[in-house]
Parts: sequence; C-alpha cells; structure tokens
Amino acid sequence: MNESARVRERKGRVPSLVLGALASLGLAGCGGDGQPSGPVVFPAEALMSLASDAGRFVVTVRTSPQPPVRGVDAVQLQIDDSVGTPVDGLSIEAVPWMPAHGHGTSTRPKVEPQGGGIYELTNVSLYMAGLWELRSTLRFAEGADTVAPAFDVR
Amino acid sequence: MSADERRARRAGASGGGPRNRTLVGCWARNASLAALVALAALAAPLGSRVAQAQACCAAAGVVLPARLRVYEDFGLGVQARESQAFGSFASDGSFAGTSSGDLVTQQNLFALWRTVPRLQVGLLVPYVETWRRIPGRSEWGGFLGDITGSARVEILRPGDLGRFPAITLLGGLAVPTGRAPDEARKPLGTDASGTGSYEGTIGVEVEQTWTRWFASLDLWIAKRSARVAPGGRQSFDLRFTALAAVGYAFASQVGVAAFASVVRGGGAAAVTASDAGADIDTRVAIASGGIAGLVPIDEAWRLQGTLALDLPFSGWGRNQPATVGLGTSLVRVW
Repeated sequence: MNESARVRERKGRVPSLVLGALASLGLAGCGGDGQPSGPVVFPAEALMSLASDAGRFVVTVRTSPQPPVRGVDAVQLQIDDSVGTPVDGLSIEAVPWMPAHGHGTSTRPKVEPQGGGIYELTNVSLYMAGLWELRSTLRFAEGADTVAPAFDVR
Repeated sequence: MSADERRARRAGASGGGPRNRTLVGCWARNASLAALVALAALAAPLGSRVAQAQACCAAAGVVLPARLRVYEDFGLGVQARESQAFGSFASDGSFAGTSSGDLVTQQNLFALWRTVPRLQVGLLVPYVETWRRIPGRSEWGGFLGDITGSARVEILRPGDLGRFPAITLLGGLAVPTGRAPDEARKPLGTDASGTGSYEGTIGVEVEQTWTRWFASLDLWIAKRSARVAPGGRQSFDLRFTALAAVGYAFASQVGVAAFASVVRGGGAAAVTASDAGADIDTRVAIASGGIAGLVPIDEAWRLQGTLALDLPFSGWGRNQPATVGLGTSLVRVW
C-alpha cells in the first residue's frame, strides 16, 4: 500500500483545557450506551485498492465513515481475482490490529457477504487513535490468502 | 542495620568537610527521584506497559518510581497518576489534537529493599484504569497492570572518586500480569492494563552535583518479547529512552527539577507480506518535558509530585498518543 492510500483525519485541534479534563475523573464512570455508528453508507470512491499477499486477489476498500474515525466503523471489501472477476464464496476472518503497539481488539468484526464479490464488515472497533491494520484472512476451497489494509485513525 | 548504625550513616551523609558533597548528593538524589517518578509518567504511553491506549504504553516499567538514599534500607510507597490524551502522532509524525482522548489513572504500590550496600531491588504493582469515549459510547474499566521488578547497582556514589559523577547501572523486568488489549473483556478495551509481553530493560544513570544544583542523565534500552495474539505473531525492535534532569535542592530540603525525555523505538517487525511490502511505519517516538518536586514531611516520609507533557509538535512523535500527566507519590522509608 502506498502512502497515498493512508487515511488521515487532521483535526489539528488541541483542547484548551486539558488539565481541566483531569479534574473530570469523578465523572469518568458515567458511561453512555447506544450504537456509535450512524447508518452504514459506503461512498462510490474507493479508499484504497491493494493486492493480497499471495497476489491471488485485488481488494478494493471502502469505509463508513470514510475515512475511518476513532470509534466503531464499517468496512467494505470488494474482492476480485487477478483478471477482475468478482470472487464470492470466501470465508473472511478480520482482526483490527495496531502494528506499532502490537495488539488487537477485544471484539471481532462481523462479516456479511453481499454478492458480486462484496463483503461488508461491521463492528470494526478502532477505539484508539493511531495506525490500524485490518488483518484479514481470505479462505477459499483450495487454501487461503491474506491482506491487511492500513488506516491512520484520528 | 541498627538504629545507631543508621544514625551514624545518616550523620556521615550529612556531615561537614568532604561530607558536604554527600549531603548535596543526597538531596540531589531526592530531587532526581522525583524526576524518575516523572519518567514513569512519561514512559507509560511509550513503553505501552498499559497497552498504549492507556497508556498504551510504556515504560512505566523501566525503573521503579523511587529509590533509596544511601542510608536507607527499606521503602514503601504509593503513587497515583492521571494522564489525559490530548492528541496523537500519526505514523508520518503529524500531530492532531483531540478533545476526547483517553483518561488513564494508575495506582502503583512499590517496595524497595537495599539488599547489600550498593544494590537496591524493587517491586512495582500497578492497577490501571481507563476511561474511553467514542461517538455514542463511553466506558470505564481497570485491572491489575504488569508487575515490574527492578534493580539499581551503585557503581560509583557521589564523592567516591572526587568530582567524578555518580554512576548507577539499572535493570528491570516487567511481567505480563495485566490484560493486553486483545484480551480485554469490555468492548472498548478499557480493562486492558498491560502489553501481553515481557519487557526487559537495562540502563545507566550518571549524576553530578554542584553545591545545591544537580544534573542527571539516564539512558535505557528496552526489549519486549514477541507475542502471539488473534491478529498474528509479532516481535518488537529495541526501544531507547533518554531522560535528562536538572534540579536544585533548597535549604528547606525541598527539591525541584525540570526534565526532558526522548523515546525512540524501531516499532514492530513486519508480520504479513502486506506489512513487508508496504511503507507502514511502525516506529515509535515521543518527546516530553516536565517539572518535578519533592517535599520531605519528616525523616521517614516524603511527598513527591510531577507534571509531564508530551510535546505536541509535528515531527516530534510518531505512532503515539500525546498526553499530559500528573503524578503524586508518598514514600515511607526505614
């Protein structure tokens, strides 16, 4: 993946009352609930496109929201073979991973095939700012291939 | 050691003539101790001893946030730290602020023991809590952190060789007793409290005093063990930490210090072909500064505090959250 494929949301905003936030510790236990994500809508324009590690597939990636933000996001993988034919019937296992820190998440994305070589991943929990990979294993009848699109999440 | 012996050693450490240098050295040690306390605050997000979110990170495991003076045999302490993430550095070093960063609190219990005159060993037991919020959800959780053992070997004490600076060898080992983020039980991973890896650290400390002024430089090299998680196996490159401190000890025995710290690491080794073929930069870096203070309550008790800030300038960090942290410690010595 080249650098241009990275996603960066640059808020460029430093809170003015950081120290005040420390004093908010007493409120810290007041957790909310609810679904963090809005409606899952993928844009027409792809975020990135990359070849699988063994070169068997070309994976086009879209996210909702796009670019992905800190929180629970959704990811669409459009998977074609090397000649551009959509590939259905894959069994996909995806794990969010922070390669700079060496850890994943406590929750797993849910994968739903949509047909036409499209697979939607929901509950993609990117709860920390930083560099994330979506380490994905693409299993087919004869074996498996892997791909790991990366996002700089802010 | 008997009470008489301890008094004699204390007197020896604070007497006149050549001993004045030792007196200054003792107070300098106190103040630099506060700087070391600050190091723990600095290192947490870097060394990822609390899983990077929590400050992911780190090197709160390099050394214990306390040390014994030359005439002290045992110490017990409690430390409370709070750090608030106010931004993060991307993999290309660019900085972006946020108003919804993690709040991490950590309570540490530590014990110190001078086993032989020039060797101190210590044990640090942390409890790490994190408050995290994302759009539509917030969560609070905590768990036992990574327990750390440490050792300090005093090769040269102040005054051993005239004006030659004191030199101490440092070592530490953090054991993954905490929960790694991928082992957390809460959806946002707020009960993650460790890295899932062993981390060994070696270092050296050089310290010099001039009447009431002192300066110290600590250098560490740390190495995390590889770990296997649902995302795959991952190994880690070396991480380097430098901490410089300058301080002053007042006649009232109050010590103050300013410090600066730089951490740089090679990040993680490539695991997948996607990693290897891409330009993913997993190196970590952060630069920090802060102030520290120490107030003796009496001969047996001392109170310390630090304020540390990761410098929010693009290019000064990489793959790290930027935090501001407050730490306070209460130490009882014998």
